[in-house]
Amino acid sequence: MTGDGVVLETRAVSKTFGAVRALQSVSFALRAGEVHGLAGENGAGKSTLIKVLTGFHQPDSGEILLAGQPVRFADPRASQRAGVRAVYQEINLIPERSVAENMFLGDEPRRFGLLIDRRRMAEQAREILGRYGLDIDPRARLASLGLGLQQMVSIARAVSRGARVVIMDEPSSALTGHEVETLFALVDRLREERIAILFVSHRLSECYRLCDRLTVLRDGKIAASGTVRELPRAELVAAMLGRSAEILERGHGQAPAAAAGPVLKAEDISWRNRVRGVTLSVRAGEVVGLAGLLGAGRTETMKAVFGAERPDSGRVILGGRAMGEPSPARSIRRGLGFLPEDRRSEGIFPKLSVRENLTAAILPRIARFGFISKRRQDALVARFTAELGIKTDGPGAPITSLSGGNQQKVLIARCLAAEPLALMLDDPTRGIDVGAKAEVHAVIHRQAGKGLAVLATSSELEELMALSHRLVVLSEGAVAGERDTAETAPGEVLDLLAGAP
Amino acid sequence: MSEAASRRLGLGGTAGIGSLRAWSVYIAFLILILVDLAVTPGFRNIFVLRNLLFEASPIILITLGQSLAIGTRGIDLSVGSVMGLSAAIIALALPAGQPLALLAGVGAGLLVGLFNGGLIAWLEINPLISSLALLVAARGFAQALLDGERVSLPQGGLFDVLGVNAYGDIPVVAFIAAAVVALVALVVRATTFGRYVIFVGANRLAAELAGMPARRTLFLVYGISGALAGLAGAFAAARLGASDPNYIGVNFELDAIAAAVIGGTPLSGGRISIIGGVIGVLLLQVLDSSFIMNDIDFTYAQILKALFIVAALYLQRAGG
Amino acid sequence: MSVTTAELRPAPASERRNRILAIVQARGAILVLILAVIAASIRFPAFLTAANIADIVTAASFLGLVTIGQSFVIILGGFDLAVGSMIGLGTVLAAYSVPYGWLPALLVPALAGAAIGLIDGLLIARAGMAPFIVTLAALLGVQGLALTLAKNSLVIEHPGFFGWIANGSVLGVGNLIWILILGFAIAALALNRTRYGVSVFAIGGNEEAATMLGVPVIRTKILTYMLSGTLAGLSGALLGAHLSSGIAGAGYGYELKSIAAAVIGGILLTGGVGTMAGALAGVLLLGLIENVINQIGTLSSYYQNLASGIFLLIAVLAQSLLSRRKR
Repeated sequence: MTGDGVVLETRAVSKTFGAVRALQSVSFALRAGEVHGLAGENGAGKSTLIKVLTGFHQPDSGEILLAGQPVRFADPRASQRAGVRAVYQEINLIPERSVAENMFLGDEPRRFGLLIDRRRMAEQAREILGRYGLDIDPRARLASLGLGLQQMVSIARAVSRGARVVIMDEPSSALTGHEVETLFALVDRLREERIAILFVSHRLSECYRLCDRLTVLRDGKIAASGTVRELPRAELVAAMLGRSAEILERGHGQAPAAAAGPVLKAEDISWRNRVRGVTLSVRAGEVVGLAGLLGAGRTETMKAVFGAERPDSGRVILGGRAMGEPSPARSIRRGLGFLPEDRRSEGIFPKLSVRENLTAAILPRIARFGFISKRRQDALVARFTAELGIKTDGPGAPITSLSGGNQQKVLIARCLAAEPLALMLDDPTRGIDVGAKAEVHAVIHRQAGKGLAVLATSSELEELMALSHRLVVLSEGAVAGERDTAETAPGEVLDLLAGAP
Repeated sequence: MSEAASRRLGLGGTAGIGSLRAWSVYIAFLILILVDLAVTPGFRNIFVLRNLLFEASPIILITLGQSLAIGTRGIDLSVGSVMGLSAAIIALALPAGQPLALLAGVGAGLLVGLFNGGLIAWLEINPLISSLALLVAARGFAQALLDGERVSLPQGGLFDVLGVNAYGDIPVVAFIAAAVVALVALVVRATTFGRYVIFVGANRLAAELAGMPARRTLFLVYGISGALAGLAGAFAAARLGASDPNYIGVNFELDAIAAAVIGGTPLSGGRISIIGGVIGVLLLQVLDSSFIMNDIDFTYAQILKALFIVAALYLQRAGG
Repeated sequence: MSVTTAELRPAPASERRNRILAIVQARGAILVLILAVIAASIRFPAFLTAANIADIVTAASFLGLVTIGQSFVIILGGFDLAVGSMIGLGTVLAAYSVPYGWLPALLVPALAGAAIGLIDGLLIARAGMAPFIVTLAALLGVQGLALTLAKNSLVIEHPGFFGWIANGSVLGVGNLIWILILGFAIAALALNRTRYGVSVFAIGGNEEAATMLGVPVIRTKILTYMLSGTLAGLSGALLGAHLSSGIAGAGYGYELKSIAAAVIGGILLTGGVGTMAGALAGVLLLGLIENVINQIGTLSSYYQNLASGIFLLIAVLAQSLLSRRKR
C-alpha cells in the first residue's frame, strides 16, 4: 500500500487495436477520496482506459495495481468483485425493471435460498438511497425516473456493492442543471466516504468545480496531469487539442473577397437543447472552421442544417434560396453535401464496392429510366480517383479493402459527385494518419479554390486553423465568437473554446 | 476490429473465403446432381425434370421476394399464406373470367404485401412480427373465404397453360419463373431501386444520409414480395387444379427463407444473390426427390435441409 | 438535497399517463378476456356452463404449456419456432415409451425437448446465430425426425396411468386444468421471484447492460431455450396421452399460436417486458375465440385463424403505438 492512498494505478499500460495504438504506456494513479478528472477529445483513449480498468480489455503490456497489488481483470465481473465499478453516460441498467431490482441484480436477498425477498430488497434499497439523500421509491420502474435519478440509482448500485473506485463516464452530459447539482452533491458525499472517483467529462467548468486532480489524454498518451491549481484551463485545453498541426502547412491561400455573397446561410438553427440559435454563413471559395470542444454541438449543428435531424427552429438558405422542410435528399438535390463524422456507422456501405460507395448519392442522376449506367459510374470513379488521389485496386474493389484515409476520400468524392454548392465536412480527418490528413486538406483546398463553400470541423484546433479561412466557435450549442484565422493566435481561440469570460 | 482481424489473416476482405462462400451452393448442387445421375434409378427420366420444375416454379417466385426482403435486412414470413389467399381469391373471382381472376389473385397478394410494407416502413414494426401476423391472418382469411373447402378450378384455358402445358418438357410456368428471375436480377443489379434495396440493407443510416428514400424502398420491396407470392399462388392452384386454402403455400415461407439463405443472401442484409437463391430452391427440390426416388425415407431430406440451413448460416457468420 | 430530487421527477401528468399505458399493456389481455367472457355468456347460453369452460381450458392446456416457454424466450429477446414440431415429436416419443411405463412416457419427450433446446441455445448464445433461423432449422429438423419415427400415427393401446394423467380428474377438475394452473403459477414464481427470472428480464431489457451488471447471459439463454424445449416435449407427451396416439404433425402451427398468445398477452416482442398472467389470458382468449366460433355454428371454424391473426395484428399495432407514446 502506497503511503499517499493510491487505490488504483496503471503502470505503463499499452493497448493496440489493429494498427491503432489506443493507449501508449499510460501510467496513472487514483487516490482514495479524490475526484480525478479525465479529459481528452474523441479517440484520445479515454474509453479504452476505462475499459482496461474495468476488465473489458486486457492491456497488451504494463500492469494494473489495486491497493498496491498487481491485478488482472479477466472480465467486468472480476473488476466489479474487486470493487472497481463504472457508471456510464447511457444508463446501463434495465429500464423496464424496478429501482430495487436494478440495484440488487445478481445479488438479491432471498428466502430459503431460492425466492427473492422483495420486501427486504425494497427496504434495503430505500435505506441505501436514503443514505445518499435520494428520495426515490424503490418499487418505481426505472424508466419512470428522469435520466438524472437513473444515474443516481446507477451510482448507488455501484457504491452499495462495495465499490472502492467509481468511474463515471460522461455522467453529466445528459443531465439538466438541477440534476447536475444532485449529482455533484452525491459525488461530494462519496468523496467523504473515501471512495476514489474517476470523473470523465467534456464540460470543463464541471471538471474544475468538482475535481481535485486532472489528467489529459491525447493520442493514447498522457498529455498533462496535475491538481486543478497546477493545470489551468487554457493549459488543459491546449493539452487536449495538441499541436499536431505543426506538420500541416497553412495551405489555404487567399480568402475569397468579402464581396462574394454567402452560398450557405444558416439562421437561428436550434435542435433540442444541443444547438441553440446558431447562425453562420459560408461564402463561395471559403473554408469555414466550426470549432468547439466535444459536446459543443458541432455535429448536431451540421446535421440540423443538412436535415438529418429535424431542427426545431431556424432556416437554411442555399445559393440565395431558402430550403423548405429539410431532408438529406432535398439538401443533396439542392446542392448541399454532408460528410458524417462516423465513417463506419454513417458513411460507408461495408459490403459494397468503391464504385457503389462513390456513386451512392447520385444514382438517379446517372440512371436512365431507372437503369444505372455503369459506364458513367466508372467514369466518375476514374475521375475522382485521379482528382483526389484515391488508392484502390479498381472500381470493383470492396470499400473495406481501402485504408481509412482512402475510404474517407471516397466519401468526399460521393459528396462532390453531386456537384454541390456547399459542403459540410464533420471531422474529415478523423482516424486517419498524418500523411492522409495532409492529402485530405489539399483536396478540400482545391475544391474551395474552384468556388465550393466548405464548412468543416475537427477535433484538433490547430488543424482546423490550418484548414480554414475563418473560424466560428461554438460553446455549449451556441456561437461564442468568430475569428479570422490569419489574424488570430491559437491562444485566443482556446479561451473562447474554454468558455473563459 | 473484425476488419483488422481479417486483414491480419490475409483474407483480403471478400476475396478469399468470400468466393468459396459464394460458390458453395453451386458446388453442392452440382455434387448432388452427379450423385443422383450415378446412383438414383430413373433420375435421367425427363419426367423427373418436368415435375421438378412444376414444383419449383412457385417457390422460385416467393424466394425472389424473400431475397429482396432479406436484402433489406428484413424478412417476409407471409408469402406462403399469401399464396393460399391468392388462390382463394382466384377461386372466388372465377365468374369474372380466368384472366381477371388471376389478376385479382396477384392484386390481393400485392395489397397484403403493401400493407405489410406500410407497417414496416412507416410504423417501424419489426418485419418478423408484422409478417408473422399476416401469415396467420392471410391464411385465416383464405380459409374463411372458401369455408375451408377445396374448390376445383375449371379445366382448360389459362389454368391448363399454367398447370399442365409444357414446351418440350419445360413447363410454361418455368419459362415465366425464369423471365421473372431475369427481370428481378436485372432490377437488383442495374436499377436505382435495386441498388437502394442493397444500400438500405447494408447500412440504413448511411443510406438515409446519402439521400435515399429508405421508407419507400421498404414499402415497395414487401409489395413486390406480396405480388410475387400472389402469382406463385396462381401457379400452385393451377398445378393442383384446385384452390385449397389448407394446402396451398403451407410452410412455403420456410422453403423460401431456407433457399435464399442457402443461396448466399445473408440475413444481415446488404447482399442479394438472386441466382444463388434459385439454385437453392432447386437444390432443396432435388434433395427431396432424390430421397424419395431412392426409397429412402423422405423425412431424412428434411433433417438434411435443417443441417443445410445451419451450415449456410455458419458459413455466412464466418465470412462476416 | 431532497428538495432537488423532488424537482428531478418528470411532470406528474406524463408519469400518470405512462403508468396507465403500462397497465393497459400488461393487463389489456385480461381485461379483453373478461369482456369477451361476459359478451359470450350473454350471447350464447351454452357458453357459461362448467362443462364448456372446462372444455375450453382443457383444449387450451397444450398451447398453455408451450406458451410458458415461448413467453420466457420472447422476454429474453428471442423466438422459438421449434415448439410446434417438438410437440409432434413429443407425442411420437410418448407413444414409443408408454410400454415402459408412464414415467418414461413423460420423461423421454421432456428430455428430447431439453436436448433440442440445448442445441438451439448453444448455437444462439455461444455461436451468436440468429434465434429465428436457428429455431427455424430446428423446426424442420425435429419435424423430419418425428416423421422418420412415425410416418403414420401410432396408437397408444394401453395408456393406463399415463392416459389418466391427461384425461383423469382430481376433485372434479380435469388434470390438464390442474397442470395448466400449476404450470403458470410456477412459471410466474420463477419469473418474478428467482434470480433466473430476473436475469431473463434483464437480458431481454438490455443485454449489454445485463452483461456489464454481471448477469450470466449465456447460461440464462441456454437454460431458457432448454426450458422451452422441455415444456414443448411435455406438452406433446400430454397431447399424446390425451389423444391416445403419437402423431408427428400434432403440433402443427403451435409455434405461431404460442407467439400470438404471448404477444396478445402483452409480452413485448422487443423483449424485457411481460407477465405470466397476461400470457395465460392470451392463451385463454385464443381458446375462447375457437370455442365461440364453434358455438356460432353457421360460421366456418376457419374464421379462427382469421380472428387470431387480426387479434395478433391489433396486439402488435397496440404494442408499437404504446411503446412509442411512452418515449
